[in-house]
Amino acid sequence: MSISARIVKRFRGFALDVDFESESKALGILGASGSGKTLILKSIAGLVTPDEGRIAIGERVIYDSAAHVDVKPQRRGVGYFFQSYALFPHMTVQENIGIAVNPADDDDRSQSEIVSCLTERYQLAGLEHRYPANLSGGQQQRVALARIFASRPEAVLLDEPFSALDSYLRGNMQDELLRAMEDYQGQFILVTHSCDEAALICDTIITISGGKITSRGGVDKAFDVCGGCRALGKGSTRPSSEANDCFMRP
Amino acid sequence: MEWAPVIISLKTASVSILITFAIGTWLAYLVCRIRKDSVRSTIDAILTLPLVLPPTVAGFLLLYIFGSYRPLGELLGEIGVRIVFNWQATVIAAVVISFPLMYRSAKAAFVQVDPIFMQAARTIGLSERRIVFRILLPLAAPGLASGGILAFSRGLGEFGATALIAGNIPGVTRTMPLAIYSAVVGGRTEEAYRYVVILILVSFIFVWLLSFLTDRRTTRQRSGERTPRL
Repeated sequence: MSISARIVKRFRGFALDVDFESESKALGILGASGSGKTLILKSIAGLVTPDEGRIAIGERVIYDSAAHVDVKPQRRGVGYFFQSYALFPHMTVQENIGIAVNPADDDDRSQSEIVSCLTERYQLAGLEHRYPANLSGGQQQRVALARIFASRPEAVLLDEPFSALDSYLRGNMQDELLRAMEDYQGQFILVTHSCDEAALICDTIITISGGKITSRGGVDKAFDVCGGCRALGKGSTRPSSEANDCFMRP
Repeated sequence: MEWAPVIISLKTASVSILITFAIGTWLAYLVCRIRKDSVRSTIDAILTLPLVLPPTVAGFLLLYIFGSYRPLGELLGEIGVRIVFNWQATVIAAVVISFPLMYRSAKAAFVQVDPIFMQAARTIGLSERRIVFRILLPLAAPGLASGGILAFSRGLGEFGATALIAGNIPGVTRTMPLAIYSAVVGGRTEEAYRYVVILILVSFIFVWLLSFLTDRRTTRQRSGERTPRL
């Protein structure tokens, strides 16, 4: 399966114009803030309508300006991990996960079975009746992940999933995500401004700047673009100052 | 002291809050969904008008609409419904006058719900209808409750529009505010006092309830954190 997207969206003083196709399990979109990376994710999820373009998941076209196709976000089968998790504050952990389970597509297992399986899987057992405000940051992330997978998306979009975390939680979350990716069939797109994260999670990386794609390819290639990042694994090139983020590995 | 005004007032306020709550919340939701700024502002202004106009103006307009010799009044008369100077008129007056309080509170409550929750709900596949009932309304609940209580209390105290469209008929349309007026005009100060005390007490209880409920809700959601005090 592949995700293909051509997205054009113009604002005053900024235009997003990208075109990419990804077959890989995890695509990283790397760029500074204001480069338009979140806009790409929101367009794919259907939370923002592009001015023109075409977005398809596999054979399924979810947006096509020429053919006037604009599938509702509900029917796109795209999970979205918000930087702030966006857990429903008035619902318990159980309710947050349960509301994402669509009973119609589960004949064999009941909603509560799916919820308890997911709470087990994301180490939330015992927390089912807590409200998000009474959870730690790490627990909130796991609820957010569980809720996304409860809705059975075909693709999962992650918007800077680690940026709000301290380094300890960041490590946990990265492990969590890698584990989720192992047992999940769909594709992932990760938006980040950190080379490190992109390298750890993704197998293909697109870099964007000013709303345009500036490079695409495997992890090595993106690291070239980051400027001297090869030093991480291979040679001894001195890092350029712009690429500091890539060297903040503990 | 007659108890009829107390009963009529409570009955009027109770029936009218049901109508005001439903219509106010619904219209606030619809207005929030209007994309075009100019259209939204215009409708918003019209719906807020009864709050700032003297109630007599609203009462005059209601008479103009429901009067027995006006088209709508005649039409209703033909099916045997006479609104003006009937108990129903006290409800209509209370609804019109208290409506903006409900509407504006509901609108403010909807606007302060972070859109990210609605976006999250869409991406996990909730229908728009379920989003309204499971996400938007519960998250706006404190604001809706406060609007409802404000509107109820305002309806309880409605005077001007009620006097114009419902009159001051003892045992039928004489609510507490009108009874106070009649008592004062008739020199029965003692009687006026009693209604005044009852009105203050009932209004206080509801407004107190409002603070109590909204405080408790935030405490539950924010794990022991206290309501910020300035």
